[in-house]
Amino acid sequence: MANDNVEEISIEETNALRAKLGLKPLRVTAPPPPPPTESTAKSAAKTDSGDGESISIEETNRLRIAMGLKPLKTETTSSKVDEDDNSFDAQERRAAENWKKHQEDEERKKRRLEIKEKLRKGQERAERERKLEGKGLADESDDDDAKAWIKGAKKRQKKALAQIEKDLREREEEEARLRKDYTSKDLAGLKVGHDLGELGETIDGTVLTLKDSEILGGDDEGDELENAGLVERSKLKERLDLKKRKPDYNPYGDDEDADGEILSKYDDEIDPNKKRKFFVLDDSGSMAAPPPKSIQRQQAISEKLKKIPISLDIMKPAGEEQSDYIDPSTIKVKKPKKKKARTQRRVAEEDDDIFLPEDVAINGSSNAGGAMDIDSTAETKPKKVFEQSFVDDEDLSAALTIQRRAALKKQKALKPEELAKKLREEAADDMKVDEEEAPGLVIDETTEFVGSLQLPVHTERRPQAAAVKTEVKPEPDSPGADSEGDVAMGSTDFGRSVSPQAEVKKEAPAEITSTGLEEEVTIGVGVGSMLSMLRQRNLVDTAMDPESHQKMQEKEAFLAKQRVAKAEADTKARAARERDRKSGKFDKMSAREKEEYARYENKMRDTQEARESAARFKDYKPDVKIEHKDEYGRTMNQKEAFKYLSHQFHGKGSGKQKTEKKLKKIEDDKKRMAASSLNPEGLVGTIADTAKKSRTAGVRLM
Amino acid sequence: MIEVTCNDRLGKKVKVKCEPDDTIGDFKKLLAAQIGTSPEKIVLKKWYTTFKDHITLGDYEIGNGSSVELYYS
Repeated sequence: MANDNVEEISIEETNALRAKLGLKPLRVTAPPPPPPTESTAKSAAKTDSGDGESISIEETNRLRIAMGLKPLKTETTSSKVDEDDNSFDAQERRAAENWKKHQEDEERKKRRLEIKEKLRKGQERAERERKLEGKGLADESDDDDAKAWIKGAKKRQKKALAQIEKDLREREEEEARLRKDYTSKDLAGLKVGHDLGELGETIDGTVLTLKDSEILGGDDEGDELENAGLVERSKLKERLDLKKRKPDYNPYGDDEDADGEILSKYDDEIDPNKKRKFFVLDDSGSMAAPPPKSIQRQQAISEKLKKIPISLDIMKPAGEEQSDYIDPSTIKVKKPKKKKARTQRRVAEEDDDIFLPEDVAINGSSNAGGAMDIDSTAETKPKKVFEQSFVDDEDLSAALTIQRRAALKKQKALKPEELAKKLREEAADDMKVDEEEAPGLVIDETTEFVGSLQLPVHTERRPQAAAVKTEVKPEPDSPGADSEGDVAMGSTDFGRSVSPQAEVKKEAPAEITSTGLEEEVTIGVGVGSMLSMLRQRNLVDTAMDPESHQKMQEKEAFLAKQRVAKAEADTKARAARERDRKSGKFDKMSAREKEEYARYENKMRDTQEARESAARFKDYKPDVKIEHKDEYGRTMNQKEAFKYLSHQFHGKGSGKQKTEKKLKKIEDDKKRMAASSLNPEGLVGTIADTAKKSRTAGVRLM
Repeated sequence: MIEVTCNDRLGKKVKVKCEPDDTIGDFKKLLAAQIGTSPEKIVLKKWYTTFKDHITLGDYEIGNGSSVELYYS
């Protein structure tokens, strides 16, 4: 069959083998394959096994025991189950038993649950189906008496009312408890995170809200009130301030918020709340003690006062009154009178009378006034007053002082009007203290420069008279014209009222003047002086070679000769014609003949003239100078002319940028000319010009 | 006692009597004694599972009448 060639050994053999190997002998459960032959014969077992090599169990067991293996298990051994049997079978068995037990347990549990469920269901159903107890609506009530019912109804009503009342009272009490009156007392000690000044006069209407604060962080600070609008505004201001990039370097250190910190721009704002101002509300809901009202206000006012810069440089601020100069448009040049010298002197004297005491008074008045005075003398920016001529520096300075003082007064009176209103509430002594605090002194580069420039100022000429002179252009051919300068010149013998111009004239020979700038040339009478002025101002070409001059003279001479010759020829011809007419030559002639004759005569004259002119032109040397003018009338140099012609030829001009550049140059030229010819000061005096003319880098100042 | 059939499909088929709590190593020794080879050369497999020496037959669920593939290494 299937196991034809199946090798198999008997159990005994196996057991022997096992014994040899050190294994326990096989356990034979009542020799399984041949249970029937189990007890009958050992030989039967032998026959049963295919190869006949099996031995009986007993034998095997013996063998096994002999080999040290445990004997095969037989049914007899397995029947009595010892608990400590650790064999595979026993384990199996135990496992099976366990399994069975477990199954049974499960089963039992399940059954119990089922029964419980059934019970519960039964109970529920019983509950459901139980009959409702009590009276139904339709059932008859106990009190069938109407009177009794009415009594009961009244009682019931009363009860209900009482109940409602009680409820109401309870609710009210509850509400009252919740909503304790919130008055200004509750506000006591609350911080308001604004400066009192910020809130301003609208303090009554402002709505303050609780400020957002950190839940975890803010342990030391209580609640704080703030106005959303104000906060927003301050934030915006801060942002704008940040945007306004201030220059890092502040040479004078006069920035008010510098506080003397070093490199404060790099400082981090560690605690933004530290700087913030606040005030605390008290019981009555108004500001509490910490910053008393009066003191606070006082501080604010004093701060404001400090902030008003009283600058000593009065020339700068706007306003006509402040300027030491009169606007050119308002100047009216008075026609000079005949007896100018006399009046002038008188005026000067009057000026002295008027101004000097004032000056003294001013000096005595206050510190600020004194400083101002000094300043004004230090920088003698000339003032053009045509009606009066200030003879002395003192006069001038006095006048200036008065003017400035007036200006300052006006300015001051305008600004602190509301300030004064506040001040009225304060005591007068506070005010005094505030005023006595020194205002800031403003010294800038210009003032310093001017100061150093004008050091020897009192011995110096004043450019004012000269300025006047250039402004009022004298007609060259009216020697009687007595403009300012002329009068001054004439009045040199007057001791006091010597015109500064005259002084200049005296000083003139000095090579280097006290200012270090070149002296200005006055325009005297005639074209020559004008020309010399122009030449000095570089407006006219100074390089005139003598040759060209001679050429020009020759040309002029030639032209004159030509003119004379022509005139002579004309007179001659006329004379000839007259002679002919008188001789009665024409009487005999017809009109035609007359014409013929006249033509002949003309021809003869022409030839004659031509011959003469040819003779004249024999020694004519023409001075050829090609000049190109552009559309603005300026002479062009060779290069420009070439370009211009080229453009004309090609019909294509230069581009927009180049054109603009050219126009700008022309404009500049014009401006320069205008400036140097019209400016009364005369750019002659500028350092740059002088330096340029003398071909040095700078100008030596004495 | 169980009988396990080992077949090498080369003409040898052996029935080995053993116990389910014998290890594969023991089984191999028995088998080797029966067929006359050394037990180290025997490899027992069932499909692609090679049986390991230290594990018992019972754990491999080899019971009475099961067959095991027999290979020689």
